[in-house]
Amino acid sequence: MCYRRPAAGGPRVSLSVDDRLEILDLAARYNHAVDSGDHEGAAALFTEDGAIEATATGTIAGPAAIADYIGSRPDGWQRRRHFNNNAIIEGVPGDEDAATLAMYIMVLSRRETVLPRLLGRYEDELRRVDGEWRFRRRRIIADADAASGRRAEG
Amino acid sequence: MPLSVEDRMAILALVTRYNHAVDEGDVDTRSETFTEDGVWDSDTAGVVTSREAIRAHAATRAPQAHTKKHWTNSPVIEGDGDHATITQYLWLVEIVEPRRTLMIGTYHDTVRREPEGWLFAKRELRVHSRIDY
Repeated sequence: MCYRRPAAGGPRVSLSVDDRLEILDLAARYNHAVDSGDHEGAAALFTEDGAIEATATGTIAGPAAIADYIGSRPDGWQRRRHFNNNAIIEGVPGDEDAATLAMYIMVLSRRETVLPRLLGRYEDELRRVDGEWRFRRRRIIADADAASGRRAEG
Repeated sequence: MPLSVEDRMAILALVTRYNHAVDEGDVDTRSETFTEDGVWDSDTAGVVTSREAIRAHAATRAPQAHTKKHWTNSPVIEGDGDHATITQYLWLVEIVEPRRTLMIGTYHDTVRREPEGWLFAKRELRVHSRIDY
């Protein structure tokens, strides 16, 4: 099932302040986990049927595959820092345990200290499982001007 | 008692106040984000203990103000009652020519609720990469 984000001006479902803070916290925990090489910790932020979707890699589904994907380049990940900005968090009509998060991403490399390694955006579908917000689908879309020669690694 | 939404917003505002103060060379505001016994422990400045010592240290760095911006990101706040920790990233970028990334690092902060609000009891800045500047 794919959640469609409401069109601009269309109906919006507001989430509580607590939900919004927990969702921002989820995004921050993902960054800290992948950047410190904690691929199991990062995978645990996804639902059992969760998936990462990136242009270069296609769909990676399930916590084990996600952990393998993130752990497959530990040196590379640990030299990077994921920064997020401009988060838009919205509820999903008729489903109080679902939300969407659209957000900018900038990945800085610890080796190449001049320019961001990746600029792009996340389009995330979130689901509340046992009271905790989790990623159900994390779509990584690299900005065209930053994508040349770069893999979109979220 | 878990942190309230108000507490979390106040803690984020403390971080913002620090960033603006250091970038503007506002020595008083920067040092007043710390408790009286606050500790500033960075890979670049070493360990500076007490608000007064932090004020003196900040004064030596104030001439570099207006050339850099502190971008902090991905804060994870944990705590309860009157104590909390924040783990967050720093991107230090030069805003004058040659407009470079100067540093990427991580702040490990300990904050405490004081009569005047949440303040840094300790700021640790660990540098992941930096260039000489």
